[in-house]
Amino acid sequence: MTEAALNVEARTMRVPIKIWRYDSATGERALKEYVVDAPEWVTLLDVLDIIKDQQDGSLSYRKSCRMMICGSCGMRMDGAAVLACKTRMYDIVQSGHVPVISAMGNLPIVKDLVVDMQPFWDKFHAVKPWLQPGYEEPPDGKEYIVSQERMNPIHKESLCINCGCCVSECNAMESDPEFLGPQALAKAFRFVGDPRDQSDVDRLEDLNSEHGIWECTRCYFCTERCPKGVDPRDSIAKLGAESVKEGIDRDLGAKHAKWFVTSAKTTGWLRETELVPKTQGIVSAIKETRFAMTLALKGKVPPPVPPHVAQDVEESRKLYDLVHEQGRDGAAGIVQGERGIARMEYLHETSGEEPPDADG
Amino acid sequence: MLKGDPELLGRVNENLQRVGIPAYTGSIEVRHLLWEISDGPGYELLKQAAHKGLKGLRVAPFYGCQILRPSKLLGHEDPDRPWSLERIIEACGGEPVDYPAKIKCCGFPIIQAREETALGELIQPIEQAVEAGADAMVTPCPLCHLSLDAWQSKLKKATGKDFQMPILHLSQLVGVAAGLEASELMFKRHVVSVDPVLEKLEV
Amino acid sequence: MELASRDVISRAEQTEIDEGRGVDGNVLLDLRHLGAEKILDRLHGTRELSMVFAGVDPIREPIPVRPGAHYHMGGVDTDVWGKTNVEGLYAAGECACVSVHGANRLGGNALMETITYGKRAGRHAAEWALANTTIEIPESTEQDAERDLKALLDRSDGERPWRIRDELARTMHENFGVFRREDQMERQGEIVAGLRERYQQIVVEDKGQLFNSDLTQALELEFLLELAECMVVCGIARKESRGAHARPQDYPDRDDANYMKHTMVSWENGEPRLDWKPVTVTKWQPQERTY
Repeated sequence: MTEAALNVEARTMRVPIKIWRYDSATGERALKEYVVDAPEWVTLLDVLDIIKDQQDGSLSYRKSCRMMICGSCGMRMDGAAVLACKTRMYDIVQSGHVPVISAMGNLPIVKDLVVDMQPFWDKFHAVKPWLQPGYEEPPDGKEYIVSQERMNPIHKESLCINCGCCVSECNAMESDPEFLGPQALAKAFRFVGDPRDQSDVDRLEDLNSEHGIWECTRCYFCTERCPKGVDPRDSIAKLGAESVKEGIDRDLGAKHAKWFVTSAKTTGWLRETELVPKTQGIVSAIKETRFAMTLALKGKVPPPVPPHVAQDVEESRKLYDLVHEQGRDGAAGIVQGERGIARMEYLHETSGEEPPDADG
Repeated sequence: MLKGDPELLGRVNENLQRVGIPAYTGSIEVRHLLWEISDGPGYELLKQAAHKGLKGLRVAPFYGCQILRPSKLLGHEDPDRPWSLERIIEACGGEPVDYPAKIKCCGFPIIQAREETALGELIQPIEQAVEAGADAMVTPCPLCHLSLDAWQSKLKKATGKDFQMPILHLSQLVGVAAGLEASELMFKRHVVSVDPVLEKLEV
Repeated sequence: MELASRDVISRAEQTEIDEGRGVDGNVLLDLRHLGAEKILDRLHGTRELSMVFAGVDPIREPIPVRPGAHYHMGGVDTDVWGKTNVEGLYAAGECACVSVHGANRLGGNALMETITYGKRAGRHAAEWALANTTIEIPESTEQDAERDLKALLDRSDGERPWRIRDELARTMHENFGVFRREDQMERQGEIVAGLRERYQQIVVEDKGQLFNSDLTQALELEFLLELAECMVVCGIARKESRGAHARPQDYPDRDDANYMKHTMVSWENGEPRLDWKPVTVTKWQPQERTY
């Protein structure tokens, strides 16, 4: 148990830290070093508070709840987005490392560690983050009941605190700032997956726009950085699966994804050669002919005919039918396995020791 | 995931049974070549095998997204400060080149559906590796290999920059260090020529 | 007991701590009987808080806990549409007091404040804004505010606000916490007065126009001090125990005959003015709580 928890007069430590200061009005930018004496239990946010109170009142950062609920204090430590209030400093200080703190990425910096969240909120609002039940309010002051079981598929998306840590590091957004991005898309799945929401198809149509789900580059930075376990990449995959299930497959990304399913079903393998024409259509594929020829000449592309059919392709076909029969061809087919992951994490934290039983 | 979730494992096995496939017992541990040869007995074997050496070749490691993230599922190394490729390059007698984009995305997954966005990602590691003075890049991911190698021509078309950066797959890097023939390593299938590397190593 | 309302739990915890049965200023909350599965599944957030801030995994160890100021049951007086007595100003959420909680908020009931009354206030405010484009503010009010702000920003020497803020927090916790005593509340009144005096000479270091949180935090401290003074005046005046206002030494019981009424306080001429408002009882008659 830590001293913080025990309210004992805590031991203190010397915390060195570097902060990228910035002023958007003047464009001035400077890396400043600070050293504070702080109790051993401090978080990064506590350290910033001490600096602001006692050394430099002009240091700017956002904060509010101090307990991982409000999502205000997203920032970067050594280039990785973190919640300042969740980041304990003790181990970092012990390692002798001097962390460098900077503002989040993919958003314009206003001052020091404060970014302009407007582009973030614009994308958030673009996915209509509210319930559209499409049914009448029940009569006589009664209420509709939705079971916990039916809400479970969007449980993790509901944990999002809009901190922006996922957006900060989104590789696709870095390349195209208009990409809707992980936060908005995870939020979108929170409503598409909500059994009460009746506007799924409209939502999916919108999300299949140019800067929607199919622009995600699967870098998994969002999932890695999220301080609340939302796993936006998983949400985006589920939105893709739901789109295809609803027949919204005009996007090249959807066609690409569909081809994987079709080739697995027909041959048990991925028919790579046909991936380009099946994704881009014949006309575009012809435009790509020179590029494709280069690859073909180098022997990178196996000949398309006859397609190689796996010996046990029947298994693959039966599985395909079974998945459809069970209604798992959409988001329900993407198994998040929260329980399994939680258990793995737990075992990781406790170095492989099994959890104690309830009676233990 | 399945090992930690008996309910899910039960459902998967029930379905496998229904189509006549034997049940999954959860006894298989999935390992990657990168992990096998960067640590433990595999690393010792690598050091013996790489007797020809890379003769100080400057190699820029490029990890690929899904061998690093999500780290709680993979767990081999710190996804922000990975070390395994560097360790292998050194064991092979090369000199690892450091650059920020080595842990980022190459753009491959959307290179067909959103080529422009993908190229915006792809250029970062290649450009940074060039600036850092790399002779070649190495990646353990076959798809990163494809985009880094084959799509350089498209980068040239889009930006006018002709990097001509040779891209080695991890297995090829080890193969070169172990003295395998260029023909065995299938360099003829590369779009960007690997010859400058081979000349440097006098293979 | 674990599922009793928060004021009851707080008093039980504080009694244990005060009477020397605590563990280093805490009592221990044991969740282990629930088992790893249930804690991982259903209490993920609780476990996370416990692990990050106390370094304790509730699957294996009890969590050290103690009472803290969690929620302000009072707030800006509004009607059921979030309207305040200032034309065009609406309040909703924790800053508002629609008076649905009385002297204690039950777990989960803040949702009513945010969801139900947030929606009502938002809708009403929007309707008001559509029908009204401007409101009259006395010129002197604006000038006063600008003058005060300028004086604060122009001052280059003085005390940094953080000591005042920390002292206010510590003394309010000590003298105005779970249990309240007349003498301690009066003592706290003097302390707050002293802190307000010191506040007159604080210095704001950030003089800029851009995201100046040094300035906003200084202004917030002034509000905290004024609010603390209001709480002291009201606390002393309410000579009974009700909900989170517990005076076990001098007034241990609830006194419906004299105090079943809302405490109203307004800020006039630099100090709080106390007033009362009757409680409308309709369907549910107040009853004694038993567990």
